[in-house]
Amino acid sequence: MIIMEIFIEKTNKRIKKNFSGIAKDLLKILKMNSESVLIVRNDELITEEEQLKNTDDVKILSVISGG
Amino acid sequence: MNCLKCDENAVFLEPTLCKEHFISYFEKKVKKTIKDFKLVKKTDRIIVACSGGKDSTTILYLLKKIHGTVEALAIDEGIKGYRNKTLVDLKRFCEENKIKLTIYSFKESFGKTLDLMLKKEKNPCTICGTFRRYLLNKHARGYDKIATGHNLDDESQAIIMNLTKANTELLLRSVPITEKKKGFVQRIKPLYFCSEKEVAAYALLKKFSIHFTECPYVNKRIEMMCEKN
Repeated sequence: MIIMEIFIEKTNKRIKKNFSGIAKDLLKILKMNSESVLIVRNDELITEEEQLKNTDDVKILSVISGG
Repeated sequence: MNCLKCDENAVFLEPTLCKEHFISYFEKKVKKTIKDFKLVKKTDRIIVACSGGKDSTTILYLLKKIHGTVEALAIDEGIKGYRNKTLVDLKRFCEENKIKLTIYSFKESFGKTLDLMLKKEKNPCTICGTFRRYLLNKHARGYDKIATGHNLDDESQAIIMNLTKANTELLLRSVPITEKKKGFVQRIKPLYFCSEKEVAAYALLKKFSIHFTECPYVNKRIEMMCEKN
């Protein structure tokens, strides 16, 4: 079975999730606020309304720099 | 979901725009802020306070594009694992875009890095901000304006904090351009009306080589604010 790999830049960690659905639902599962992140699918910026598949390469970038 | 202006896929939701139209929307908004608030005169010598993060890199890029000549000024506070990484990004960006960059450090100026200063002090942002503003103002003398990457989220946060503290003096500084004051270089904030998410999306779409990381002291600051209130 193919499992989605998600890179979370804020924590510099790569996690694996069996997920297929809308990006905003993935954020809910990960307990992330859609206002504070950007979602990158296969190196392209997408909105949280886009459909994600297990085969996608997903990155979640924090927009809060605080520096 | 399609872009409001064409049939391309949207990359941003509010407003719902594709890559090309989002970049155009963002740049127009920054240009409008510069024009409406008279942030820049043609003859101005401008220096940009840079950290190597998305906000200051964006404003450095846009001011060079709009105004022509700009210089970059960075302060190395000495935050291990954070500032050293963002400064690498900044040096590369300035080299690629032929922008003069000058870096001053807390260690050279005050004898200690921020990491060392915080071994005895509790409030990281007050200490860091005070020393950083002092160095920025000191080394920006001789320039007409110093541009900072403060965005709409930063300004909203500052307004709410100063309202709750009833600090009218600081509240009046939450404007796109500060007043002329003896001994201080005028500050401009061209990203004043751009949200943090918009700036991040622009930096990503323009493929600026930067890290989307948070300052490690952010959580300590929030803890301090909760303790006080």
